[in-house]
Amino acid sequence: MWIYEKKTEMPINIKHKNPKLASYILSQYGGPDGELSASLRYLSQRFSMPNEMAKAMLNDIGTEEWVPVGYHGCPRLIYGRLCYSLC
Amino acid sequence: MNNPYMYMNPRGSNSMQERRLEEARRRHAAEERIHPGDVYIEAPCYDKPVPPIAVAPVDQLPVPPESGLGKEALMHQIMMQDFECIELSLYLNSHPDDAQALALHRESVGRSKALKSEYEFKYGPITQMGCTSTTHWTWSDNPWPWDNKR
Repeated sequence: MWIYEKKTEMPINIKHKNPKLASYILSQYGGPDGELSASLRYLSQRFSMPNEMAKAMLNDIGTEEWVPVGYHGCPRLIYGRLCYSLC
Repeated sequence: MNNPYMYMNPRGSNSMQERRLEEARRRHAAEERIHPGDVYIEAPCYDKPVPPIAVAPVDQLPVPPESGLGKEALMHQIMMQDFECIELSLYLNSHPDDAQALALHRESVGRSKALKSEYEFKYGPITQMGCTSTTHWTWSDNPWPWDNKR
């Protein structure tokens, strides 16, 4: 089903402390309209899709929503001491 | 005692819920339920012998082609190739007969595989299937993606 790859989708290097931005990013990740809930919605909806294209699309974007888990799940970010900037 | 309709409401059911409940009771009374020890999962392969598969020892694997990139640059190339693959896959979901996109996807997958086999051969596994050492399980070695570079 899913396999973990020991890499991120894009390069990431945490450079500056910014707790305010960190809390904003975290709400995009686990908040009410965040990527985690979107992922679970897509992965549930794919089972009742009427055609092949919709099944494939929901499966793939539901999987894609897990990409930021590789970035945002970082404990340093969760404790609000750092934020990230993509290089 | 063996009457399957023994729990049925003689006045007749008036709701879907009641009808479902009656059906469940009827099945239960008719011994159609799952009993402890019942095997109800089909396992067509478990009782068949596994055919022998020839596998080369890990230390005799062919050396992957050299790209001339360092560790970081190689990983950046892999990220770029994988990103390309993913985006092309999403496009192909809605355009499954686009020959140009299919060709691009195939090329991108080929480059990604070559780069990944080189990275895993030199620096360590990207997935749990990528350990190439015969003496040490390198998957659990640092660094992990969230370990800061500095």
